[in-house]
Amino acid sequence: MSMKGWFYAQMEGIVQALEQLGTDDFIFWYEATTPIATAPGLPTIDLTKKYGEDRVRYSGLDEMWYAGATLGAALVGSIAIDWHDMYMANPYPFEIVSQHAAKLHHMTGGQATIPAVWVIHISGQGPGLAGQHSDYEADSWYAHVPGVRTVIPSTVYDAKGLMITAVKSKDPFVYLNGSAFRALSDDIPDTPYEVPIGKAAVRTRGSDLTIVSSGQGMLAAMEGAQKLQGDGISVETIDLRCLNPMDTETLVKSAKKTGRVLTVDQSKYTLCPGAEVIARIAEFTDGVKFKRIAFPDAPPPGAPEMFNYMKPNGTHVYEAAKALLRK
Amino acid sequence: MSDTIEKTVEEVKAEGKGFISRRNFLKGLGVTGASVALFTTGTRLLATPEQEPVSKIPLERDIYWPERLTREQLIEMQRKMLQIRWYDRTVADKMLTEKGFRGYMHGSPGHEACAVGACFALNKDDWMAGYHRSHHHAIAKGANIRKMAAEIIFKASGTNNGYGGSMHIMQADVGMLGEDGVVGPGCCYGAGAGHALRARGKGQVALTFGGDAHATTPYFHISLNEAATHKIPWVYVIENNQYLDARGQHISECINVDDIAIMATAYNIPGVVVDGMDVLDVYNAVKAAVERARAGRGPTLIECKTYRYYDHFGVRGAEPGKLGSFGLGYRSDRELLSWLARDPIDKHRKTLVQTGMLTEREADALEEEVKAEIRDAFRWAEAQPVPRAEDGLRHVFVEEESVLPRMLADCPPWKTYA
Ligand SMILES: Cc1ncc(C[n+]2csc(CCOP(=O)(O)OP(=O)(O)O)c2C)c(N)n1
Ligand SMILES: [Mg+2]
Repeated sequence: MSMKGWFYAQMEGIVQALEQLGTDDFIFWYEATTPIATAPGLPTIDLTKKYGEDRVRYSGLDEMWYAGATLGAALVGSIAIDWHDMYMANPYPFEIVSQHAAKLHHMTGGQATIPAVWVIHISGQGPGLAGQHSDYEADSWYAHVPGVRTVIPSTVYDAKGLMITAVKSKDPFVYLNGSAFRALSDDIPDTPYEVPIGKAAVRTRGSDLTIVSSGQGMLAAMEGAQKLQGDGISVETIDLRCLNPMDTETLVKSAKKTGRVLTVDQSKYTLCPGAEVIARIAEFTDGVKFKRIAFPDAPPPGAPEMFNYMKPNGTHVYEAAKALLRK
Repeated sequence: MSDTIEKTVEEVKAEGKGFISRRNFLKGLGVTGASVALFTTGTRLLATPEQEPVSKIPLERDIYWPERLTREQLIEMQRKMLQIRWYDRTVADKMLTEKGFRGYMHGSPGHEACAVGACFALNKDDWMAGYHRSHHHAIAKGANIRKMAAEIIFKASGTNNGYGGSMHIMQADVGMLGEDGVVGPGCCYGAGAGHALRARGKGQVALTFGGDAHATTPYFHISLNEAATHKIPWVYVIENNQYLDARGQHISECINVDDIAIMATAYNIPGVVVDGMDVLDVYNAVKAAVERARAGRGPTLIECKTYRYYDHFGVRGAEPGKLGSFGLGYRSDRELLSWLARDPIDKHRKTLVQTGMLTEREADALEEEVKAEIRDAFRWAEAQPVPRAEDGLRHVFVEEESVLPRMLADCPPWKTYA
């Protein structure tokens, strides 16, 4: 165990996954983030030094190019990673992932194999940058796409574990990387470990109410849960971690126990991950009461007054939970 | 400002170095002879640059367009460049000195001549699309400077009512299609606007501004191909400041040619390199391209060689009261100084003074007037109200007053649309 930052955990995950696979046939594209990670008292991880400039490349600006180039590298059998940190350009890899990477294995009758990870950054935390740069919606887009696994860590532990899972998998992954987490660090194992796909994490156990969230929504969810616990309410907080496949079992069992489910999303209300959570629980339970809060169906405005009003926070979670408990 | 520049010129001379050339960057300028200014008497007062076309298809140069500008217009060019300069210098200084200042910028200083030269070639009812670095385009096309000042600090009375900020300034009534924070697509919707304007048949044209990195995106190529093939009345102006973002990536590491303008060859349209530090050079080329477009002869690609004095974004390396960002790891101060020595505002001022259109005193007075105007604009902006929180739910649609506040526990479940 040692203290590692979010990015260090991810870089360590990549290196360890490749070591476990016993390969350095690896292609990595980056744009704004040079893949050099440091942590106090630990060796620096420098992907370019380790794998060479032929394999670890600055991409230039065109996100559609390196999203597609990642697919090409994976199709010829390299482990390929697209470090897509330009969240204002998130629709660009979507075309490659949804229309090609997600469909090729199936369309080629099982021939095409795509051991690639599109690490897609999402922002959405701060005001001031307006619609294009402050948006948080890629979770809803990718969760909808069959043929690709969509994961979204919210802890440093999962950031590493999900990276290892994604890199080692023979299937294409979308790894959603929340910009709010970049400042996190935590004491996590030095040895490799995987976080299984399709398995949610229960962050607090409780019996009065279930709160379900994912990614940066977890920040508001945990803040709200703490406030509720302060009022003596027993809250079960679930972090989805994996949007597709979604852990229906954990969701349904928790809902059956508490009878009340609140979903929290930074994504837009319509078709946010919480919508799918509620649908699955409703489909397989009787009598559960629901509430969903999310970012309104609007682009994020630039002015802090407007943005901060609309972004779901701990107080919103607390109030929605209280209203749900009164139902 | 003049002080800084003169000192800079001296410094550069003292060092015995000309302009720093990076991967033949300035070769284009040498070839075009664009920086050669010939002052003569009578009406041929101004420079007649011998621009060579870069692409195979020439841009007609039988007329030297700046000659046809009136004294008032030539002075107005200077005023607009000064407005841009002092608008962004004010933003920079406020970012450096005012805690809690809500504005930011991708600074335009250095790029003034590109925007002003190009927009002078457009009519008010021609349309223009900017990019993420776009304060200069907005001012050059005639946007309200007070409202721009209010917008970048997210005031309710800003050009965009506080919804957009620095990267999204838009004022439709002066023919702005808006700035765009996503690098690339502006050429597609600029050319698309040109297509619609031609169908409307009133002789309007559209123009897109882009950074050098535009040339690395698919939009650049598909818009040129389509506009060329279908002779769309559209002009594409690339402001090549050599660098991409704050990583400091040099454009020569991202494209395989020295001049972006040569890419026009592939689409069989004119492509020219102009001196982006010379407002008349830019104007001459863009005016010729606009005339060509209006005459139904299709698009032109114009590459302005220029430089941004500040960092990509914000004010790293800058000091209050001083122009430019120094000590940035990815470029040398000497390189910056060499470009400061070719400052477009200084250059045009000299032209105006040497041709007797302005006295030194009048030129100073013009600058003071602009400074006061900009001071007033920011003072006005600061006194403006901030938006109401709930207004974030408005302006999602023209035909819907506001959307539902889905983050609230007591949000109504639905509304009726019928
Ligand atoms: C599609 C896209 N990718 C990346 C970015 C981040 N970004 C903003 S400006 C910029 C560099 C653009 O360079 P250039 O076109 O030369 O314009 P300049 O900033 O030099 O004026 C980058 C990479 C973006 N806004 N949009
Ligand atoms: Mg540039």
